[in-house]
Amino acid sequence: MNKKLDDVMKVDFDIDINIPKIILKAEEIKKKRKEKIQLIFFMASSVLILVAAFFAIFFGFGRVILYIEFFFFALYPFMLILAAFKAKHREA
Amino acid sequence: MIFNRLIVWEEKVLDEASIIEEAKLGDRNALNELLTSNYNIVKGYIIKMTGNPDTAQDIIQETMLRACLKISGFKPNAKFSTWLIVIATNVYKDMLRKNKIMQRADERLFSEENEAFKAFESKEECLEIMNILLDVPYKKRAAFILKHYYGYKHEEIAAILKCPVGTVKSRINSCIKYVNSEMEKRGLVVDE
Repeated sequence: MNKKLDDVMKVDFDIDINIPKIILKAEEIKKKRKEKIQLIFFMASSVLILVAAFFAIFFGFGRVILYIEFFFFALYPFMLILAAFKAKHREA
Repeated sequence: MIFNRLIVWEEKVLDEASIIEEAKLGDRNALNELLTSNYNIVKGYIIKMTGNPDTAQDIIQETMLRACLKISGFKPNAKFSTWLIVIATNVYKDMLRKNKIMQRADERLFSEENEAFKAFESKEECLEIMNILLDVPYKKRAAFILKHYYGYKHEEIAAILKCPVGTVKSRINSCIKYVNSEMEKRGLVVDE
């Protein structure tokens, strides 16, 4: 190996890199990505429900939608109670 | 003596493995420790690859950021530093593709306090040698730097650069031949 090439490769330079700042930036990016995925998932599921409802009405299954609506209305209070319990646990 | 060194090395490896696990679980301090301890390896490699402190800074920052984002996907098949070098090489490749890299050595690299400068008569000589190396295509240069300055095995370099072992060997040989012939052409003394 060429010795001069070896010597030239001893080159070093002070570079100012703030690693904790980079870690915080990465966390922020991860959070934004997660929110984006959640939003896409929410929008996709909303569109899916609307399309399903449209097809159900179109093919004469409008009554099924009403049953599903009633089912969810009956379930809401229980879901709220569960959510409240979870929130309380999280606070504790 | 050898046994003691072996124990120290084993402890170091185990220690790094546990830090990696903590970092994967989202421990900020563990990630910081991991990146800080491997920072100099990445820095040296990128400075040698680019020959420019400003470009090197951009690449190192991007490398560290990508490492933070992808840490949960790290598989302990290789050393953490090797994984960082793979990321750094990819960042460098991306920047080359976007034409964000100027392939000329920066004279700030060879200031008088720098160890690299002490072995030479003039700053111009250092710059010229660095520029010869920068003229070599990056794939050959990367293989050469990883082999000669970091002591990686041909198989490891092949894994880093995602190419066959034979290709790595031929790239290294071709790089050495090119550099030596260019140095002779430009009248720079070649000490074997």
